[in-house]
Amino acid sequence: MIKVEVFSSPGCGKCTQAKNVLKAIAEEIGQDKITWRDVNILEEMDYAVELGVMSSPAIAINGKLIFSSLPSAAKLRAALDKQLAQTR
Amino acid sequence: MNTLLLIAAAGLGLLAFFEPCTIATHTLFALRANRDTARSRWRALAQLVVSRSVLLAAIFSIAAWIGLQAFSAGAAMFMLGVIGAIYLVSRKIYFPVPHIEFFRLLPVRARLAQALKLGLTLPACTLPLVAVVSVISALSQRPDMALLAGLVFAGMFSLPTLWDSTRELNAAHRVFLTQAALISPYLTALLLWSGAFLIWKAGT
Repeated sequence: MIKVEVFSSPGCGKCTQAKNVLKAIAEEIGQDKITWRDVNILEEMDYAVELGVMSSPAIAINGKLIFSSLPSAAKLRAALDKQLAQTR
Repeated sequence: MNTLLLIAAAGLGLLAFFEPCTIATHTLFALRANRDTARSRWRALAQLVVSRSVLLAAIFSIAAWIGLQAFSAGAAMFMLGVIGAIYLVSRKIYFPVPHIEFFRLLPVRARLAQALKLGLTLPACTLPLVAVVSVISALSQRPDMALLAGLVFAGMFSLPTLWDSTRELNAAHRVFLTQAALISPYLTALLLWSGAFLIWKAGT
């Protein structure tokens, strides 16, 4: 099981797009393999700073910042597949 | 026209901070600056304000230098109406508009401090606000006033970041920022449509 966190801010269109892309990929891969949560940067600023988040949206996988901007679906899928391979 | 230019620059500049695509980035920047040493903090803040001021002063001055002889009331109403609608529609539909990162034009872009990268970037959701002030600058045909408008816009855009970087961001303030991010696109649309309405009223 890999943990994905999407760092977003309220009303941010790009963040919604990131969440939609992630949701679609998570459904493809299997909900049992991925758990993800939406992190409101403005509410969890300290955690965002700790991970090195500079802007929204950003995506962390297993507690590590992987994307500091909106990734393409292919790049996100590749990053998730890589993490899944490592956890097997 | 000059008064309108400066008022628009101040109001829209402040609003730019609260737009959803900028508020988180600037608040994180402020939090980092707040935890830094006083010297590093003020250097970062100065870099942000100066680079943003230079960029916006240049954009508005060039617009004023190019100039615009006339802009009909109908065209102004149309522009404000469309931009206001874009802010509302973008709450539901994603527009893949990129941030304009002027720092990428610099040869030393890879080594630039985060403050300079932030100052030399026009976030996507602030582009319509910059466009409105650019059009007013062009109508004024006064590069000196447009330069001043750039300084005012940059100052107001950066002011909340300066404020946040010098104080503790407590829970109440974080809730305020969240609420502000949710409301700002609607407020922006309302302001732009009010402007269109005033133009229409003035013309009838």
